[in-house]
Amino acid sequence: MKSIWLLISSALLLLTAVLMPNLPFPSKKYDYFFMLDITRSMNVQDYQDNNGDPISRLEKVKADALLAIQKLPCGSRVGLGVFTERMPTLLYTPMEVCSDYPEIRESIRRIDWRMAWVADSNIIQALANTLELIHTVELSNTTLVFFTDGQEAPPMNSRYAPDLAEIQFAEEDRNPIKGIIIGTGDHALSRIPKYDEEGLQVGFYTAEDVPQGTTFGLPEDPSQIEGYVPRNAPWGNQARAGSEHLSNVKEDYLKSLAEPAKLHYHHLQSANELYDAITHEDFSQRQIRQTDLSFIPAALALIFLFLAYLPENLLSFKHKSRKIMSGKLNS
Amino acid sequence: MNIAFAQPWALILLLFALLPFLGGIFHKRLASWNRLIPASDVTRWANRIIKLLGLLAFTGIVLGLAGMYQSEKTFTRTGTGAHIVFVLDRSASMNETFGGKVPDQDTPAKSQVARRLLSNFVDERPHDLFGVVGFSTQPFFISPLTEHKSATQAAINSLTSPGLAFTNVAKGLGMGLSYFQDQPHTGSRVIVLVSDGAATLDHRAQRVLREWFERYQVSLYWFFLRTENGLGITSEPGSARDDNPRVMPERYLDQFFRTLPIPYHAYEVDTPESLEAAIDQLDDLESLPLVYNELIPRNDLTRLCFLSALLAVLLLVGIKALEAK
Repeated sequence: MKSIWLLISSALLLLTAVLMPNLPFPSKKYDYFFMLDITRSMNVQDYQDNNGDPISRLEKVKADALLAIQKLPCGSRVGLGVFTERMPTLLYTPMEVCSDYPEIRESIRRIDWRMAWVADSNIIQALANTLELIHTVELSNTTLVFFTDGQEAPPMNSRYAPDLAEIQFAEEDRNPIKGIIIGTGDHALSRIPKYDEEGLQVGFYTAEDVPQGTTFGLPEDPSQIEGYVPRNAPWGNQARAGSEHLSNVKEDYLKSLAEPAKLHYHHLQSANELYDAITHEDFSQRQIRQTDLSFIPAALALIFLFLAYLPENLLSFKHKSRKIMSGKLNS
Repeated sequence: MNIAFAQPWALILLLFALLPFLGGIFHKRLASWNRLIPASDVTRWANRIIKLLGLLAFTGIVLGLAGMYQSEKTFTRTGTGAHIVFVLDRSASMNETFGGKVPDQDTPAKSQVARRLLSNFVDERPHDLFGVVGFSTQPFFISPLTEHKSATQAAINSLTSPGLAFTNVAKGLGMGLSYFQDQPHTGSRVIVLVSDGAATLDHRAQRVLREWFERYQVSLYWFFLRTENGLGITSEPGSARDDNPRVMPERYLDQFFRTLPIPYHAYEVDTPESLEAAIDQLDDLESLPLVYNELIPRNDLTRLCFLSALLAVLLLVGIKALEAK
């Protein structure tokens, strides 16, 4: 095993490692546009942090989104937006997750429900407008990650809902947006905190504070409405009871939004599951990166060098000493 | 020298470096009697050098495999520049052209013009730190004060998204000023307010803004994107009845800014060209000595490690070639 050829091979491999240029090597990357719901129902504290203390849905989304971003491969990019009422806005176009991570972290940390410029929460309209916005700002090859709890406030009249399938697939000259809706919140109903102008909590919303049903437009089936008068009381004359002042994650509703728009759906529980959901095969893009592969010849060189040094005396130590003791000469 | 490793677990392979001390690269030969070939000093040294070369070869390869690099460093340097916070109006009227019309191919919206010019400005000021705040009815944090131009450019791109609601200047300025809270005071500090409208400030907002501008010593540039035939900063009231902040908020906001104990420049901009001229003037004015950090990116030492291993192995090859056959 003590051949000079082992050393020579090792040297040649090392030479290759030193001189080798970076080779184009395909790898995966992801381009996202994160859209966060900052309406008031996102303040419901129905998640827990690592210490078991309650945290709001918005805090949970911010924390888990950041953890997921940390795990993304370099070269991936994340853009950010927020929506309230039915209006989304772009905070920034996608930034690279490795070199611009400090800015991404700071901007996500600073997202606050008080950025909301109006107070209603109209999820399906916001989703429809977000899909339009992505085309307007020319980000149509990014993956939309739409964080929301699905709480429509005030409740909406489904007759006037936008047709998501039409927005996605009607126009032939533009590609449908890929994306995923992330449902946030617990399945159990919780009270929605109420804050004053200074951001101090002043109790919770009660049944009287919020409309319990829609009164917009015309009802689908007037015969179902008690006290229906076409002109004077199109939504009846009875006060309606309901649980619109409480909030949970409206999973069935969100799935019914995702389905016609061909979006994925995921219920937010942990950062790892979120990462798995947003790095689904459908969302990955191939990128050709100049990759340093010099470790391959170097590792081979190490093996050859190891073989060159592989101590035959160590393996055959007893053997040799026996030979010496027996006093035989060996050519 | 801050040395770090990309794959530190590979350092376990350093154990291989002990091999040259356990054995060698030469064939063991049997001599009839060891005393017949006594070790001279030269032999001992040659032996040590050969072992060291082996050590060097193994260590070089392993350190290279572990991805040794010199971590990034920041050097503090002095140059000229500024800490600049853009406070951008994201109200609905920013979607219109300077002529107050819906934008088309030839005449872009005010927000587009502002985006393009600010973006060029950022590119031309290499040492400045930039932060971006947006505001409509509420302020929103877009990007922190940073030297990363790519992040600032992405943040300025927020102007491509349609405007939102009203113009609440006080809250936007408040958030812009808050960027200077924990910043060391070096170079010029500048807030660039880009808006196409104004709003009345209540007494409380006036007091807070006055206090903060004074405390943080921030100079203010107001690029007022005036719509054609609209009211401007310098518009004179037609009658005494119109001379109030409700009717002429721009005039009164300007008067308030003039009372601030800081440098203040207002530019009434009604064409893309005049905006460019205003930005050029900002460029000239804001160049105080600035202590800034220059980032030296990480330096990959992998190839250097492999190269030293290569030299060691080549020497070993030479020595091995001299081995008595």
